Amino acid sequence: MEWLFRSEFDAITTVALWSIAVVVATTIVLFVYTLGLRFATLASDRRRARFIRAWRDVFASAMLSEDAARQCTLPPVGRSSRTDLLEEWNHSRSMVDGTAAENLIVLARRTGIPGLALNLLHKRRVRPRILAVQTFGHLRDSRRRDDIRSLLDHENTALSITAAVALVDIDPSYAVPIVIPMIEKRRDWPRNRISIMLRMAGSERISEPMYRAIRSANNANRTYLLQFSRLIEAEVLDALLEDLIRDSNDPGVLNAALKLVGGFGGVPRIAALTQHDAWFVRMQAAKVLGRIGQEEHLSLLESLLDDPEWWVRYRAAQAIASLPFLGPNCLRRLRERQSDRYASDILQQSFAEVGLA
Amino acid sequence: MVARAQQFSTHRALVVEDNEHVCYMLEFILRRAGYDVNAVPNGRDAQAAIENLEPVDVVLLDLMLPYISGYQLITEIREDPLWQHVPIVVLSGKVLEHDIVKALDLGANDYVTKPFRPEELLARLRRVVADHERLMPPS
Repeated sequence: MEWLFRSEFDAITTVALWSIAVVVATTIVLFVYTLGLRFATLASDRRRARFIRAWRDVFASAMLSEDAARQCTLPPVGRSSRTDLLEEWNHSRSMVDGTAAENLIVLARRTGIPGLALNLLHKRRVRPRILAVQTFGHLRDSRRRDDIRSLLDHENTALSITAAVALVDIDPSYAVPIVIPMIEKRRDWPRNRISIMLRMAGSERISEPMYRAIRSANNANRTYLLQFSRLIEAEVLDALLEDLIRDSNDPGVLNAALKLVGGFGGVPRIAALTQHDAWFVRMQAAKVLGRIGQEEHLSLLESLLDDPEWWVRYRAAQAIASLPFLGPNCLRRLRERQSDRYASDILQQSFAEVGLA
Repeated sequence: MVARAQQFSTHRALVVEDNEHVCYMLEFILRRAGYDVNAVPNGRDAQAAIENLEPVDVVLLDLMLPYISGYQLITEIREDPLWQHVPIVVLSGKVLEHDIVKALDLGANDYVTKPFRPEELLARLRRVVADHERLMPPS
């Protein structure tokens, strides 16, 4: 390094040499620092993986046996591993039901998981709060019911829907009358999570509140809510659909309701809907008549074979082909008597699809 | 129940599950019940396992898998000359009637929905394996 201090260099060369020396030194320091960070991360990942593996074994043992849940040796939990523990427990708990879930709750109480969750519940950041709410739901801890209820209106979608699901998990009888009216207001709630929540609550609990919510909603909300109505009891669904198909003339509602028809209620009105102004209502009505139609509906379906909309013609032809009281010979005669070329063609195509060409 | 299964079961199971946590738990539960477990995380690896491994005693299959769906795998297993009789138990979060009917129609022997009950799952596995052995005794 002596050459750096020689005086025979002019000022510019000296500055340049010093600059190079500083850059090289900084590079070496940064390189060593990066290596150190990398090793520290690897060591931390390995520690975390060991921690997770040890606890997964404990959770899996507890799932299978209450004795294990009550008596197994618990691996130590450092301060930095608390969130990992909560996440792993929630993962395991969401995977199982019945006795295994009860055993995991027993184990959680031994582990101090409720206390860890309580510490997170009032944090300012949303992520720890979501984890806390999810944990209380999985613990079915009714002491936190009011805290969780207050989060239903939270502006953060994830926190709000997690609170709704947790409330249902804790006490479905209490939660259902509160969360069902919120479904139409919180259009930001993900649909799959709403379905999971309603399924968790059970069809017998949600049927009446869903019926009331759909009946009292405006047309746009009715259409939205109807997509969750497959989860309600079959007889309530049939009654609801019959009411909607009878009373409503809104194409969106009729379309959504006709898609769900499975029973035989309201057939005269469904038959009348084959003449509706909206083509997709005529199409859905034709599809329904293909499933539940009687002999007197054949002429209605035939009249749709020359509909201006291709989809209506196609579904009507498919419906005719699927009517159980028409044998292959009847179907062929029906095709032959069509004077309209489009009607004949669409029947030909639909019959070919079911091997009647 | 697990202890009883441990005494009698030396069966081989193929677990096809993309969720690493669920897969770990299933492996643990099945090993504890005495199964020799092969686990794969996606449809492509499951295909490779079907091509390269001897047929197992039971396949535990998720439906929503990366690359190749569970439905497709059921079809492929039922078309494979060596694997076609291997019992398949579907373990899926899909709970709608048409999903269950589709899986059973394609050839699944049983269908368990998530969240599942481990003891019930093991009982169903025992039953399909026993039925399979009754119909096709090991040579």
